[in-house]
Amino acid sequence: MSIIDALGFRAYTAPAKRFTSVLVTSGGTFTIGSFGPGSTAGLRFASNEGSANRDDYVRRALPSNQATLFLEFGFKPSKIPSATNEYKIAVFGDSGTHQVRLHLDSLGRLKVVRGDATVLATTSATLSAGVRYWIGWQVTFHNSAGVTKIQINGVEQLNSTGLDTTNTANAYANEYWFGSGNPGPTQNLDNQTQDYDNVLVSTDAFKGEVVVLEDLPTGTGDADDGVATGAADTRQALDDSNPDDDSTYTALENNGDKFLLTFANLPAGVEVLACGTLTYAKKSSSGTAKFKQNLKIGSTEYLSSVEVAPSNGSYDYFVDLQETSPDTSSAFTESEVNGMQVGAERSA
Amino acid sequence: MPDNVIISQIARDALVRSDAELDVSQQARVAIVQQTDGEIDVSQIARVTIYLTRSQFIDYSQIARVTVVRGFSAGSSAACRGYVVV
Repeated sequence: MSIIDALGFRAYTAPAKRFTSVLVTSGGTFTIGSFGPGSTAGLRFASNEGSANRDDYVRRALPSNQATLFLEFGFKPSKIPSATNEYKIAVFGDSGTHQVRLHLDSLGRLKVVRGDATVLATTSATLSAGVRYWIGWQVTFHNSAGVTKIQINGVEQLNSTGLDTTNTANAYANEYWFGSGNPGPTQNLDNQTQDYDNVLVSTDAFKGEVVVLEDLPTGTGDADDGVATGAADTRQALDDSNPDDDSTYTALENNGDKFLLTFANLPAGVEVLACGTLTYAKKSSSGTAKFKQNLKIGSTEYLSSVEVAPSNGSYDYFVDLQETSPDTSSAFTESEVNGMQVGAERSA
Repeated sequence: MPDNVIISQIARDALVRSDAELDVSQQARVAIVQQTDGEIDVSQIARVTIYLTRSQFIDYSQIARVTVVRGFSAGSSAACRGYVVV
């Protein structure tokens, strides 16, 4: 599985649900709304100016340590930083510590920075205020043979090798951050917004611009062993436009218990780069309780190789995306996805 | 309490894009309005971005034909309006 995370901002309205942590104690705000291209879904960071809010961020933990990461996302800055300022756009982190950061500087260039201040490389290409771009940023983490690359709208604008891209003692990252803030303590933020949309995190290559659809179930498929609480059945418990935690949920109580759900058709004429599930889950006590994604294509059910071990008492989102159909070992087709049932099965 | 898997929401994740040839005839007049008299300097247009119902980026270099139409807008003798039609 080379795509390890994707954010469409379509199945949740509260950033705190989707991100591992959100820090807005310094006055900035993060809002999910119509901030993507053509008023589609996106995430907006809004600064309220002043040096005190330089650390506001959203942070998303990844499932494991990664030696190389590719972060791609739609991005629109409302301003280019003033002369002494830089905006922090994104960060690769190691358990809470910045490894490498991506800045927008006062000339509109993208700048790769190790830790808080060591500039590793800077693009010649520039961004403009109020324009939405598809940004791709790769970092290979190494203390002497590190690599960073940047693509803007699918065109490579930076390729720098032989770098020390480690700010911690580890040659990996296990989280990414979005936000703003300054690289230094003496500079002031502008009063600006930064819009993000359709985020994609991969481990092997840039994938190019995509739309991340997060479609909620519309009907019950061929199985429903789930024990629903607060709703008539599993489908009605799980179709929340923003997850309601323990208000409505379904429980898989025994190994082999499963549910399959149906979904609306994809937009006509699309190429499917990857397909899978986004599941918001926990376990109810400290014992063993794991599950796998279940895709039913035709008459065959395909369990994912990924086994999800949710936390005890604490919900989190789990992404399981596959780039090839388990039925054909080729790319998913639009009709295949439209006819597919999607669900989960308890595996342990 | 039993060890249950508890799921509160599930979505079908699908990463999609359209590589099909775009039917730009449906939407693709990009109007560039110049408020003062004078010709529009098309060379300054670095990129034309058109958003379909699904996000889609069109590289300017991929646009095969660009037609520039100039004319005066109705009701105003001062404003010159230009249109880049792709």
